[in-house]
Amino acid sequence: MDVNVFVGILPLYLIAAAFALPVFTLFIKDRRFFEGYGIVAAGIALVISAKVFMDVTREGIQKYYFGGFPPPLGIAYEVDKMGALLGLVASLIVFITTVYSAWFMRVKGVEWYYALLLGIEAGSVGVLYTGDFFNIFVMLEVLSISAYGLVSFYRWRGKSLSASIEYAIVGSVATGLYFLAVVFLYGAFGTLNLADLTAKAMSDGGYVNQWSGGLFGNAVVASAVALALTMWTITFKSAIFPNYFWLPDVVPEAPTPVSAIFVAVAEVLGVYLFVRFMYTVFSPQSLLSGELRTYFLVFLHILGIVSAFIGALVLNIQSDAKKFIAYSTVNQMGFVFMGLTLGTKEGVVAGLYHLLSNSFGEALLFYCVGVAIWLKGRSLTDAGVLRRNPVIAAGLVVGLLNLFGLPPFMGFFSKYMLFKACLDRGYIVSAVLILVITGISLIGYARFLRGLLSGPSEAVRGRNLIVPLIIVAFITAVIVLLGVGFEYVIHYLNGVVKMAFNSGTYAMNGVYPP
Amino acid sequence: MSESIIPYLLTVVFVSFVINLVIALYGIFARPTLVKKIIALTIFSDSLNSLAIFVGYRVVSGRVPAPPVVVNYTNPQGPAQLAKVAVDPLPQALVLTAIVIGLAVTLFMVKVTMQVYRVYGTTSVRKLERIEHGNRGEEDEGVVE
Repeated sequence: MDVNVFVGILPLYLIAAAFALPVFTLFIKDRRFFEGYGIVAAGIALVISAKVFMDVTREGIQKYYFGGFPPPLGIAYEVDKMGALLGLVASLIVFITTVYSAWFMRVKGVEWYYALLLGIEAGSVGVLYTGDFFNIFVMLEVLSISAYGLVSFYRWRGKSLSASIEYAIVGSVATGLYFLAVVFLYGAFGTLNLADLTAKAMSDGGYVNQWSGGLFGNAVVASAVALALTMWTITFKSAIFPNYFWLPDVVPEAPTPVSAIFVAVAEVLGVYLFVRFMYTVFSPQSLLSGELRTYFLVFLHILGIVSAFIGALVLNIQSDAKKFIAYSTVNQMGFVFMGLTLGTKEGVVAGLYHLLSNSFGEALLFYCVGVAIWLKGRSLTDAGVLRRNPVIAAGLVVGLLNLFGLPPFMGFFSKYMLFKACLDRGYIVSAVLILVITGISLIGYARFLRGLLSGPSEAVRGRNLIVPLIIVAFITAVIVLLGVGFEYVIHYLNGVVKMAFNSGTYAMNGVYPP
Repeated sequence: MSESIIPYLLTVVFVSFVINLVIALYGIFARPTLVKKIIALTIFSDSLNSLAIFVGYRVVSGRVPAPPVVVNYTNPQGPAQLAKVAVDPLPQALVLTAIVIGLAVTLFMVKVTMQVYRVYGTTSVRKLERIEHGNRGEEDEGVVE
């Protein structure tokens, strides 16, 4: 059993770092210490996730077995290219956000803020790296509890509190339903290991593991029920139509750096779980191959379209910049799910590429809006104050044009890929709808641009803007680079999706003896 | 007699879990008070946990299944024999984890509800909505030290 220690150590290290931080409050009261602690801890996590990413790119799937138990018995971590890529994106965004928070947060009690921020990173990296679907539940809860806490961080503001409690109640129901799905899957397959589950689902009872046995009862019905329950959690995490309502309530009330994490990191997990469950575990070759799978995909495709529509329509009437970005996220995630549910490799590549465009684009908007909030306020016309700093204003323009989809930014190429994938699949109506919805959202993005270009530019407060300037410049550069070099990115994403679709390799790597 | 009544009783238990889940979901989404929502949420998670334990239960041909604890250490065949007659211990371990997580979430929600009551003087979501709709003015983020 050759294991990669970094895979196992990253989530544990983050949890340890998060729990150790409050201990320091006993003898250190300086805010700058906790800011430094957060930046260093997130920086180390970024380095480790980059190392895992390089290992996976070079040598294929990386594994780690907690306690040394052979796979179906203990908790196994298994990272393929998709997990490694999204993990790298997540830890990059969290690292940037900690740096930004050190500039942005000027309130008492930041030590709890950084502890919860590291908790969010631990949860998301855990979900992306783990190869055990009960561990996914635990890590989702780690993520969720940290997220509930961060939303109510301004505990003197009533709106933050009511948003937090709403999010907590609906979120606990969503993760509770995922727990029910885990129980159903365990009852039918007798295992908690994703690779073991994949092997059993692929062979339809032909594969019997020496420890976890074969199938019990009617596995097709059990997996269909479990998948239906999981979809609730996935649509909740990714803010897809029936479950999108929490995002526009929660994101505007959280501290702005945390809002960036919500739209850039938490959304990623729903997409990851969707691809993992629909294409790796219950692939077209598995026992869930027939019409049922097609119904699932078509249904979610329609939900994606509805979600993109709602996002684009409501986007146009927003006057609050943070609410605007929240609805923009609903719109973009609808597009992502339209790609993911096509059932083809091309569609999933387009969906993942659009996900990257969304993550960096929305995070960039939040970093710019945070500066505007500091200097003046949070309405769309208050963005005019950013004209005092050309770099940040240019960053906001790039972010908006990227999300709308203009070349040479990522958003254009991802929407183009999405359009092409829909046409190749024969979904002409969806392809046309992408253009229509993009056209509708133009009004909203143009209003934000007008607010930036013609809003009053007098600042209420003064502030040194060097930190957000560097951050905005960096993310703008990433968006332009990933857009200009889109051939290389698509080439890499093709490899990622090829690996995610290859259930056989995923199962062989995770089951012991191989 | 007992051969036919055991599946019947197990079905009754299963159906009551499902009904419990539905009632709890109604309570979570339809009751206006936050405290009642939290109570319904604990009923929801307890029903889920009981259902998980139920999945681990199995009928061993007319006998009561044994608890999954090895007591006979001297016999090398002990664990293998126990595995044939015992209930599945793994759902119990899962439920243990879920209960601990549920405790943390419930505590957090109770604390936030207290804070909501302190700020607004009510825990009814309908009144909260009315109050928040009333003072729509620009609330600044707490960025000033």
